[in-house]
Amino acid sequence: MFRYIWLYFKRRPLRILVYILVVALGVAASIILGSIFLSFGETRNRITAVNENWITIQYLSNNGRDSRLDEVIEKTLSETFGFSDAIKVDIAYLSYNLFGSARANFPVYGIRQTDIPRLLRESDTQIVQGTVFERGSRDIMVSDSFLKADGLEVGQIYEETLEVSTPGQYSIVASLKGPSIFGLGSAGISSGGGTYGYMVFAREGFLMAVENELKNALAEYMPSITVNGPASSIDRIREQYTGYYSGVFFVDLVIALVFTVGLAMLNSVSLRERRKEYGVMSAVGYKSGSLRTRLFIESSIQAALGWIAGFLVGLWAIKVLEKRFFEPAGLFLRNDPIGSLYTLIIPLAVVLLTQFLITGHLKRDLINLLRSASMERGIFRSRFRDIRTGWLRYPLRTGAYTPLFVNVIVFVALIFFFGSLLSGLSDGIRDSGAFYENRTYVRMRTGTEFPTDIASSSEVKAFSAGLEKLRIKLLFGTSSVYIPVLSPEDAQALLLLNETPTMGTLLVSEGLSERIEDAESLDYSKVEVSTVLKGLSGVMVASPLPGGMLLTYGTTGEAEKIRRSLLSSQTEMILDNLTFEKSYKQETQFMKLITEIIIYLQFFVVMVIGVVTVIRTISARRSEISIRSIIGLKEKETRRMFSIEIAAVTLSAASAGCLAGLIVWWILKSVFFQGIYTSTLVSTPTVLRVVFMVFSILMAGFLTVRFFTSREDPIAIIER
Amino acid sequence: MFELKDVALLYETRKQALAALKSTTLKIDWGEEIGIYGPSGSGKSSLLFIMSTLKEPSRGEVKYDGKEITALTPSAKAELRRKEFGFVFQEHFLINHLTVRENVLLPASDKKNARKRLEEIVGFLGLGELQKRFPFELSLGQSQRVAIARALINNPRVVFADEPTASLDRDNGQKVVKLLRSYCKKNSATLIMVSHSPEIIEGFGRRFKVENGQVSEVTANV
Repeated sequence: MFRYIWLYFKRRPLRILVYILVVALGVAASIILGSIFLSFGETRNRITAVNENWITIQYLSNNGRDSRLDEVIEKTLSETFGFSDAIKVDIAYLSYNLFGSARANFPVYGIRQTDIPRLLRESDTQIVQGTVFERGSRDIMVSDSFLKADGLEVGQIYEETLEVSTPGQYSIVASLKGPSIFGLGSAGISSGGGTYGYMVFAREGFLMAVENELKNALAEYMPSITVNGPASSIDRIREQYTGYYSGVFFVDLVIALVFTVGLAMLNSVSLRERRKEYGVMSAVGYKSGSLRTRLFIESSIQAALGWIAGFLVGLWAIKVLEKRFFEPAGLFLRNDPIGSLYTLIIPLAVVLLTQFLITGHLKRDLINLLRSASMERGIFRSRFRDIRTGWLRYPLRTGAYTPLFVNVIVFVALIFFFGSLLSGLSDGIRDSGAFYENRTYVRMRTGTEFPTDIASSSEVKAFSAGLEKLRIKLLFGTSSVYIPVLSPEDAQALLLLNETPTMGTLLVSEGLSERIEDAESLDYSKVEVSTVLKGLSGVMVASPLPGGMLLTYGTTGEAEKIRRSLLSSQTEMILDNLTFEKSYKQETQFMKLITEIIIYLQFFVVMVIGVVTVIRTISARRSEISIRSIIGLKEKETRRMFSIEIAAVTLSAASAGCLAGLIVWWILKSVFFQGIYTSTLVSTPTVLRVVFMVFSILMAGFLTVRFFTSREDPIAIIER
Repeated sequence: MFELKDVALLYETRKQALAALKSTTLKIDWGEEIGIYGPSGSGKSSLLFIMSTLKEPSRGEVKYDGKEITALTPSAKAELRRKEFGFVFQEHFLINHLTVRENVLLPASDKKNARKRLEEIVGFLGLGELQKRFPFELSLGQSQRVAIARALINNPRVVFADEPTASLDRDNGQKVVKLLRSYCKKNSATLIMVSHSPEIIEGFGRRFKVENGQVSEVTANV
């Protein structure tokens, strides 16, 4: 048996290689995508892991330290545990932008300078660059991964990356390197609203016990006071990992689906071609069980080789990505055997599928199997005996085009589905900034005047405006719609209304009017749709609170000029198209990356399989090409007919795939994503991807036809 | 009609050049019945392929109807084969996914007249009932008759038959030869038939023996 397996491998190296390559590609893709997911988990866990070094007892306050709560904590610490070395801290949380929408908030502890060495020692962290912060300053020392992720440098002023940026809040003076991610700053860092509390240390091995004791002792003050230590950090890490492993599993499942469909098609063509061989082997006495075992071994070897190759390529690719992607993005890599094990789905599916397909073939009787090479069976063959259109005969009467047909349907459907998913994900975020395309909202700090020279330009019109925030539900999470509050006269002027709107009117775009049920937080008496408002935008007619200005201008370039003019002013908030562009990029980056990787993987797979299938289909008809040539049909005629066949099969499959993709998306949207805002059902990039894919398959088909029709010697069939 | 002058076919291998067909000069007229026989591998099929433009000779001149045909473009050769020649081979070489009717009509140049002619031919060959069948639903004898019908659909002036009876039993073999001869006689077409057995071509107007690539005309009864 092994001899025949070896001979098959030796005589069909290209077929085996394509097979191994596709398996390897799927496995490598799974590993790479899995590692991206897990790296986010690892990075977040390093933030959570801070509490493995110390316990923080903390509470939230809008007006500085709460002396009553401080007293409770201090009393508990000294009376219950006799601790005198607890450090008084206040904590600011900075947004850690891992990649795109995957964010994490890490703590910056406000402490005394004298406590720095202890904190660094306890957390096994070092200062790798810069100097320590100055007392009473806005200086901070932060993890180097945070600096990498935000592309900042030590000494650069940090602008907090929240939805609304606050310029000049902190100044970074040093970078820290260690197993966990946190920052250090001067005591009083959370001036005003923030988190306050104490850091408690204990000898190694006692921290968890102390944490539990503290939780018991302070139970009556919870949830006002929270206690975080190694015990809660372990729970959180476990919870986070469960989430990330679910993500890895989902991505691997999608990839496995794509590759398994592709490999099933490859397998189906291969097994169809080998039916006669199975027939001959059955005739000479091989039992079907033995043939199944042989195929099991063959497919297992190929799948195993593919898995090993994919695993090695995946590991190599991760190493390359670590330098080029993970490190510069501030991400920490995590090699995890469980994540890698998920990739076994592909080879296992391949082996099982091969068994399933061969069982179907071997169910035929011996003569049927032997003759099957000359009896191409199309499912509708007997129904199409009378078909008059020449180019429809082969596709309808034989099953030869089935793999290509099914492949194109599945892959186009997947591209449509993922394209729609991506557009559904990002539409809400993009369109929530539609109002600010040619407008800037500025709010000055209390007691600061709005610089009048900005509004003096004839290009810019200024309106006194307040601001309301509305959250709308998206496919993943929510997005904010910022609604300016204008006086009736200003609203009329801004939206070119014929009549002055009444107080309490909420003027909305058509897109927002469909989502208005989310606007419960707004105090409006009636809703009117305005055609001037686009995307997801609205204007509230009410008396605006002082301090805010809405600036409108003709060109988008004006936004940057206004930003620059405001640099030296005490602004509390700026909203313009730059804010939303940044937010859009950040919010969609991660999903876009994952989706695009899946889309282009599919694209690659369908290209390989499409081209292989087309080549096999045409090469299986070489004798027909010879016969046509012998009886005097010109190359051109044969080429034309074959080309029309390929075009008909591919285009009809692509149309069916588009339809299937849209139906699946529509069903999912209606059943699972009810009320999700999407401005387009099919985005232009999706259509372009499908067009490009179909065009590539057609070109591969046409070139193969051209190759065989021009090369095939009329006498070749007789000489063969 | 056919004029071969110093035609030879050589196969060059690494060690030596093998002559599948040695220098051959012969002339065939319209309406003749030509029988070519010889053992397997003697070069008789090569001679047929060269005359029918399916193979290019290594040297020499092949004229058909006074025109040199070896130098024609592949497209012109295809047109010549379609309009002037008909082919029947040992294997039927029918296209599996086409029905009998579609296989026969495949080379038809004038589709309108071809349908009319199809009825005549299928009647002549006794294929009337089989028109909607696929090749794999036919017996070998039936398949060969379909191949003959396809060869005759364009009313060829020359019919090339390469071992048309080799895969058939004696009765069916004789039937096929009889059909081809009667068609050619009726339509004044030239029949050029190759066979390894001299018996098959017994009674043909002219017979050629091919041995080791050497072609010689046989004048006496074989």
